[in-house]
Amino acid sequence: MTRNNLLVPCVTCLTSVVVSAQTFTSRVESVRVDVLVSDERGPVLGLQASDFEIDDAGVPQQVDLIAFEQVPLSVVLALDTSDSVAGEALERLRDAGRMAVEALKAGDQAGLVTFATTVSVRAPLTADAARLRLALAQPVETGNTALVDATYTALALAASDTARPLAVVFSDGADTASFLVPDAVLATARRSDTVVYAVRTNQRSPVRFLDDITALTGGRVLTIDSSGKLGTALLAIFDEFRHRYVISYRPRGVSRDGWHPLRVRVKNRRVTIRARPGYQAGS
Amino acid sequence: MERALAAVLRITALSGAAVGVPARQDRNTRADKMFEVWLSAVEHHTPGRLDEAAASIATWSRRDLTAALDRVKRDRLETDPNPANRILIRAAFLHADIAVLHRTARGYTLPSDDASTLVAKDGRQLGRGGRTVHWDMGRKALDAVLPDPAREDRVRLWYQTTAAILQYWDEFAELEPHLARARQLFPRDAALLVVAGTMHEYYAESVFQNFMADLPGGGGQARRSLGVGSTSDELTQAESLFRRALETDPDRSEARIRLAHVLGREARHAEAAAELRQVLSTPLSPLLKHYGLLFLGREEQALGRPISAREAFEGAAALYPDAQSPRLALSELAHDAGDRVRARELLPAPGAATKEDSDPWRRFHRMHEQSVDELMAAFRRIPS
Repeated sequence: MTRNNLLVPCVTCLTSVVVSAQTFTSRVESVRVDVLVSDERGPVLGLQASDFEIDDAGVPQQVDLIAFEQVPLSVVLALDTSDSVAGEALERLRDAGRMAVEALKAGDQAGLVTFATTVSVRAPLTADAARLRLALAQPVETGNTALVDATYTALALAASDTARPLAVVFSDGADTASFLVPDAVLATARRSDTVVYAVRTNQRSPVRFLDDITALTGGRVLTIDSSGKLGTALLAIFDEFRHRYVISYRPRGVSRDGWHPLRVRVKNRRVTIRARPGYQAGS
Repeated sequence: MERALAAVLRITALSGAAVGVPARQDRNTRADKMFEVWLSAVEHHTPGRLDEAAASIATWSRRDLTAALDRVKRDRLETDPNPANRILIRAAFLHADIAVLHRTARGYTLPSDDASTLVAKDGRQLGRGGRTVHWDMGRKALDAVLPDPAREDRVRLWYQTTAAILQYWDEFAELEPHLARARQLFPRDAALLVVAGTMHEYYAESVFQNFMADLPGGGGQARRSLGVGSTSDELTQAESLFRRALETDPDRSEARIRLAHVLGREARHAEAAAELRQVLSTPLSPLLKHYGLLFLGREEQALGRPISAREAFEGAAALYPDAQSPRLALSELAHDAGDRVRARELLPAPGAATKEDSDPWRRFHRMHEQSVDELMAAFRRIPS
């Protein structure tokens, strides 16, 4: 899902931009797009609004706002605690969670979801690091893997009008228990501004749902060879996410309903852009 | 009972009279003694109890148990099969009881007959396990009932009950041959058709399909031995079995709900919704009504009718307020409607313990029309 001149959007609005209530399904007042711009040396920094070009359903738009690190994060960790992640692996999972909590900055909020056969919200979005650490230490459920249910929960819980929503899903396997249907959750992701990243530990068959939802939201899947490397992966995701641009525009000349394919470009630069491929508005 | 026992013992005596050389005589003496032990166990076992009778043959080898069964078959009075039939049916119940009473969460506490079973959890192989010989001995005992085991109601009930028990335990390595034989004997039995349909419905789920896909070679050998096809093949089989069950018994509500679930998985949403509306118009237990509404909500959502979907999910949630699945579905609908506050309210409450048992969806892969406890009780009341 890394391609040149790809794009991303995110329906919604930063507080400083407009809109307060999120009724974007009926009225898209502002579209927010979370974009990672990189070249062979890593993230490209220092770009201005005038450097970006965005087409919404093929119609060029005027970029109104560009934000960078100053926008806090709203991050939800969804951790797989199913039977396949037990014992020492579970402790490494907790260690990784603590590392992620330590990496939060002022203004950031985080939440914690764990999942096995069922999904539990261990901590809602909070800036209270102590509460998050306490939540990480709690006993967890075991059983099968409700990956789709948990991913939806993280996506919905992370949604924020004032921060950049990020859901990070860790799982070492495929879904074996969810009620929610992958296609329906993917449809929800098209309407959401949450960016989903996923971390997997095993090298077995790819989990198509994770591939799809990360691509749809502008995130990506990281594969690690053991849960001991999860902490490092989480920090890498945070670092990457903090280097993403948030660009915003008021859609003009496009339908208020339906799927809006997006195309984001950076003028006069050979760069790679990671962003969501479009957004769903209206009915 | 005494009369039948006397008859079979007479058969034994006749058989023993045919012996010849000393070595053969020794063997036969041992065989005779073992047969007497087996026969005594069959006669004296109290259903549902791990009594001395059950314990006396529980650890026997397949060879010894087969020898005992063969003796009954060989020596039965051809003109009057009833005494032998009675012994064979009692034997089947005894063997099933031995298996049931020696089963723990970790498997059977009996010597393994082989190591052909894959043990899996959460879609992963944990290792290999063994099967107990007693299920197969039960089947073989009933196969010997004359003139036709399919004419015996007790044989039918034995298969209905034991198949439901094996399905409840997720013991698919045993359920597969069990159902295969049961369906040969009772091809139009609605209860057995629903158990078989439920098995194939479950085979289509990701927990099975992912497990198979991750086995070496894509699980080809395991698929063949277990009889697990692709998702679409399994759904097709399940649909066919549920439809045949409904042909036999149109009022079998669970079969219709499962048929609708399968149709939904096949993306035949309008057909699924129609089946669900039909079954929801009939009297249903709270559990089956919950499933009906839960799946109707899903189908209405897929058909682009969020208001109807919400009504159905709300109905399902009202029946089981602590169930997570309908609340997540309602949250998703609220999110899609742009109401993120409501969507968040419907997520699992922070810090609240979520009990797996409180959500019927988590056990949907098992049949529900009769509980295993009820089946076991009925099983043990079967007149001998």
